[in-house]
Amino acid sequence: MLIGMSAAVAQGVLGTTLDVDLWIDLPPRQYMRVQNLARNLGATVAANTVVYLEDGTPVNFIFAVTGLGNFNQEYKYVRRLRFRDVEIPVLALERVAKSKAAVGRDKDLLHLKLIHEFLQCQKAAAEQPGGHRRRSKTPRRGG
Amino acid sequence: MKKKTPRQLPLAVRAARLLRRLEKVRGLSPAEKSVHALGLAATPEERWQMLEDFARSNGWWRPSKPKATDSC
Repeated sequence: MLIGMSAAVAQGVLGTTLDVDLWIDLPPRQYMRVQNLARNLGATVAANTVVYLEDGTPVNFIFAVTGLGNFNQEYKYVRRLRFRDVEIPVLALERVAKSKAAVGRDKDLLHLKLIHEFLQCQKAAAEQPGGHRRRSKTPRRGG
Repeated sequence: MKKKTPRQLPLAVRAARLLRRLEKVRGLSPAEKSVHALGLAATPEERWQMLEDFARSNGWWRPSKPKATDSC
């Protein structure tokens, strides 16, 4: 599943990230399986858990995430987003935020702020469906 | 046969409509709200494209092989 800031971006948080984090449901010792798959797709292997796709996109394979439960526990928080004609599992923003709060690096705190602001805006937008605030049924008179 | 895609308003129009719905959000400047409105209005594909365009324009992501169509 897609996690980290890439997951946040896919859900609408317009922050930046330099890599794409994919959480793999495999034990870490089986990293070679993922690496081989990536290699078959034309990726360049840079480290055990890092590859560069042919278009230059850096991808990190993650096998455990700080601050979160195991893969199966977190999978229930997945949102399925349609992306390039494929449905991809994306970790819900609230869980991305939980993980970032646990890691707590400077960049995580910045991302956390953006995610919280975004969730605040998302909630406000959802409370006003249709985009028009309805005041009262009686039309307002000019003058 | 060409696949039909549903008509969609331009992203800027969708974002402007969404921004109006964020009027009452407290603690954020109009500039900050405008960014979140853009993110909310965009499709996952459009969001990713914005990130990718930004990363590539800064030279962070470079293709490992030149495109076959490139010519000098």
